Amino acid sequence: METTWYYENKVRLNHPEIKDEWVERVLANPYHSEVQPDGRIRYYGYIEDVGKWLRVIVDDGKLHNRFFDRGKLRTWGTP
Amino acid sequence: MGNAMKLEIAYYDETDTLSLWNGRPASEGGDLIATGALIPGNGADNAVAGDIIADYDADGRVVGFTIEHAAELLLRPLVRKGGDFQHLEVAGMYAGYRYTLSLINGTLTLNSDRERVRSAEVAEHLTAHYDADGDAAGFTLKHATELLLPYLNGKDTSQLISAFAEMSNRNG
Repeated sequence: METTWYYENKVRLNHPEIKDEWVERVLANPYHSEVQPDGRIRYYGYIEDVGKWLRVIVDDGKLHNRFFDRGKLRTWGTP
Repeated sequence: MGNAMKLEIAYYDETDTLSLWNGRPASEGGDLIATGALIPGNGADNAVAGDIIADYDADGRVVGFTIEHAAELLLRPLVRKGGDFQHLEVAGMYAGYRYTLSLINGTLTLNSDRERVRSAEVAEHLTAHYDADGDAAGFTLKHATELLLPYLNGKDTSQLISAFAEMSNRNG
């Protein structure tokens, strides 16, 4: 999948612990997805390796952001 | 204060994304302006917002903020500071979530609708405010006008300035 400039030059540096395979896994089989008002799409998946929810954001078909979502364990627990 | 970490500012014009960061790796992120309930499995039409994301290290300290649609959100108040105004306070809904933005003598403060109970420095000029759960409730950036405008100025400000002048005239 294509990536934004922000993703390649900032997100990878900012959240270095997230593996590409986890992102691919979430995109391939999301637990949940939502469309933001700006048209970007959020995909969520639970990464058992670390016990956290991963949020992946896609902007116009390009990977734009991904990070472990701090609030999701509180609101969703584990799947 | 003398050991404050350097503030790294980066702007990505392609997606109108502004990053304020102290350079430390983040282990988690969370919405600053977006606290609405999300319902798992409710389908892809469950619209949400999330236009400022706080990044946290493994100890729960904020290491930076990502501001999406940064020019849309910040440029007008920052440009206004460059005009005849020294003080601006805005309270409103941005993408569905309440926020308060103030600019006083170049210091920008953004607060969500969550009550702040403590503050801690993130980097030089940048302070994070936390709520009782330890989540980011807002931030304060000193010298915001001079720090941010050079990054955002590549955007076409003419329409924003014009619209803002119109609004100011209406509001007296």
